[in-house]
Amino acid sequence: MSPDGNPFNIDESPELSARVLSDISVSGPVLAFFTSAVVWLLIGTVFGLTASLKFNFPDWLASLPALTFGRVRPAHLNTIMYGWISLASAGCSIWLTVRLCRVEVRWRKLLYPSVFFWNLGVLYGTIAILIGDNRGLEWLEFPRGAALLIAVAFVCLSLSILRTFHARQVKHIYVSLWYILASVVWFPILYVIANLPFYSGVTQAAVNWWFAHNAITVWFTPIGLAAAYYFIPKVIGRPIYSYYLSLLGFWSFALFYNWNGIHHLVGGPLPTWLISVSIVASVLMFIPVTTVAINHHLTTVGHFGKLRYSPTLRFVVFGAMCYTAVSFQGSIEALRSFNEISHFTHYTIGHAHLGMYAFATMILFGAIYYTMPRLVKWEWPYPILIKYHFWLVAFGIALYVGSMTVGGILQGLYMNEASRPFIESVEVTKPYLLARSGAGVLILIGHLIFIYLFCLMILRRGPERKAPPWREKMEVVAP
Amino acid sequence: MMFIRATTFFLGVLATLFLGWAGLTLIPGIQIREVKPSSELKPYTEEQLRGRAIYIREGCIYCHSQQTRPEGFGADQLRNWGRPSLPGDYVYDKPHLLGTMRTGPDLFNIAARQPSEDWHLIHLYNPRALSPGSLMSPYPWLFKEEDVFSKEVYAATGERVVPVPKGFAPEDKVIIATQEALDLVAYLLSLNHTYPIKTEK
Amino acid sequence: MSLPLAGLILILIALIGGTMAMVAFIWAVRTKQFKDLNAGAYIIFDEEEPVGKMTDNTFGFPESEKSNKNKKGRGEYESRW
Repeated sequence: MSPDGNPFNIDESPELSARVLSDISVSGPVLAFFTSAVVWLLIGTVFGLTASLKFNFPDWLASLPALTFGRVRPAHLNTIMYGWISLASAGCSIWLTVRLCRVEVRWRKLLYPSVFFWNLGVLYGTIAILIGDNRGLEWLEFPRGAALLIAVAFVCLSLSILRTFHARQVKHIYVSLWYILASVVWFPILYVIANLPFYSGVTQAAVNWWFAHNAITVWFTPIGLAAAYYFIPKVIGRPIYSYYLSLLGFWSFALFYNWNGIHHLVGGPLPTWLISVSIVASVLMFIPVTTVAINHHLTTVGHFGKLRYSPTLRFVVFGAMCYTAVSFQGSIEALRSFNEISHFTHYTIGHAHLGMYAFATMILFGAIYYTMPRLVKWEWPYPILIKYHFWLVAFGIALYVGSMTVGGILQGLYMNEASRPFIESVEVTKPYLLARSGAGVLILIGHLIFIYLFCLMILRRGPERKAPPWREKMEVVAP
Repeated sequence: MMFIRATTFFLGVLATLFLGWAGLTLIPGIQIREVKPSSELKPYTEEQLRGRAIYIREGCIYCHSQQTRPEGFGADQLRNWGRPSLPGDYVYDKPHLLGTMRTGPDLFNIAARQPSEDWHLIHLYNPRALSPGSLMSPYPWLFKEEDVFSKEVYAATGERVVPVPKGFAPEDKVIIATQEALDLVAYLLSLNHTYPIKTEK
Repeated sequence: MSLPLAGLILILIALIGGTMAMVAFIWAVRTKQFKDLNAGAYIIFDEEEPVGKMTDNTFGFPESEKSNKNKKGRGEYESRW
């Protein structure tokens, strides 16, 4: 055991680089975050598939209250958001922080409580939803006790990251770090304000959707972008195309994205100026999103062949491209003329999954594939399984988004045709809902493969691959 | 220098969050606070509040909205779902239940469209008994099954028999609504906001 | 607090904040804060993992000549922005 309690036998030469020392210092907490994230991934996926099947077979398991659509669906959302995505993002963010500050983690003792309280909060909240204790607000269903646990856990993470940042040994603050630092300051404030008991009526609806969209703005998206800004140049071996562009991208992101939330209530009982402001802010997002897209694309162009070598690059590039797609889609979706058709339909669900799965989740897969070997000093034992994982979930999410997009538009068009009975807008979606369940099966299988591989890594089982690939003689990229 | 940069950074970051918060929630909140509800909108009764809690518990918001859009924006008006809803219609709603999905129809004025208690009870027991092709979940746990006796016996006990159509309930049983089912239906039957509004606000 | 007053305060805050941001930005440009901007992009590399070296080869393909071809030779990477 090395002095900081790291159980992994480090048989390096005594001269360890700052990079390796950073990795070692956070390996325990990051593994704890990732492991619990993966558990929630499994639970959340099963909830999601169950919810989808309930639309295909509404009378299936219909006598079990805990599995009714109205409970399983929020259970799916919350276990995925606050469980899988949040915990994986937490692990990713602290790992990126130590790497980019070139120090060992500070206030490490706060990180294990963070993992513990976070998981406890999500567990408590999920059980509450299933037994019927739902606060009735989308994305804020957890009882306040669970929310408090998560808030405390998050603050522990924030303090560790901020203290580590304070101890940094670098002169420049890399772009990924801007996003992470902003996140850890933004989210606790957001979460506490949203959970206060002062609101009711349509004002509460405004707070509700300011929160829900801002959770994407200040937590899920920044960590996804931070990861993409790091892994794309890091894996390929060339720096980000334009650092200046990334600066512009960050501040326009921070300024505009915070005003988007009310686009969830277009056509609703709120002041018109308020809705219009959010629509304008949603369209202005073209600016930061384009800068990110240009940056990532021009860093990768000429090197797409490297996707054959690196699973991380596959997942992260896929995710980064879907970030561009989902953001452009969102900007259009906010416009009244489009929203009139798509609002209240499965189109919104397709958009949500393009964002939270095809962007956020895929990037987190990429991050885990990169970091795990460096934390456990073991190489992924069956690369062919990683390929199965990738292609299953890539096809799965494409089928998911495709079916919900087409089905949702048809649903909206039928709903807006008053001569059609409402039930026809339901009937038209049925084949697409079936396709969505098929997509869910593909995704579930992909996840089971990923979880199997993850378990092998944690336990350091499976065939030992000869030399860790990042130490093999790599091809030198002609710059 | 680094300190100034770092401080500026964090101040800027906080400013972007608070500006958005102020613009999207604080200012509208102040504006909406000045709205007075119509005198025809009554606070919920105890029974309706219990029913509303069940609506929340069962996750009805994930398929049903409670906001009617204006004329020319969607077909809400053409479907006679009620006049466009306004902030004043929601003053007693805590939490709000505006909803964002219409897998099922909007419910803001469901009591005006469907005032039958029997209809709602049967529909909750099994939606497909009244609405073939519906995807809605059944809620059998809001009901109990009893062996069949004569209607008079039930009338005497005060139990609420639900006239579920043949084929949707066990042959030899009668379906009785529990208090929860009655509360939920009481809430649904309170959803009528078709009272006219005096001024455009 | 009435709506017009609240709106006025918000506009004032936005104006003052915006002006401060503008001043800070102009100051930063004039005192050359942005001169070394591009150097920040190199922070992710170090001696063991320098520019030009791929750091993930999990799929372990054998190196091939064909994939080495880079269409845009650019030398040490320089941004045009």
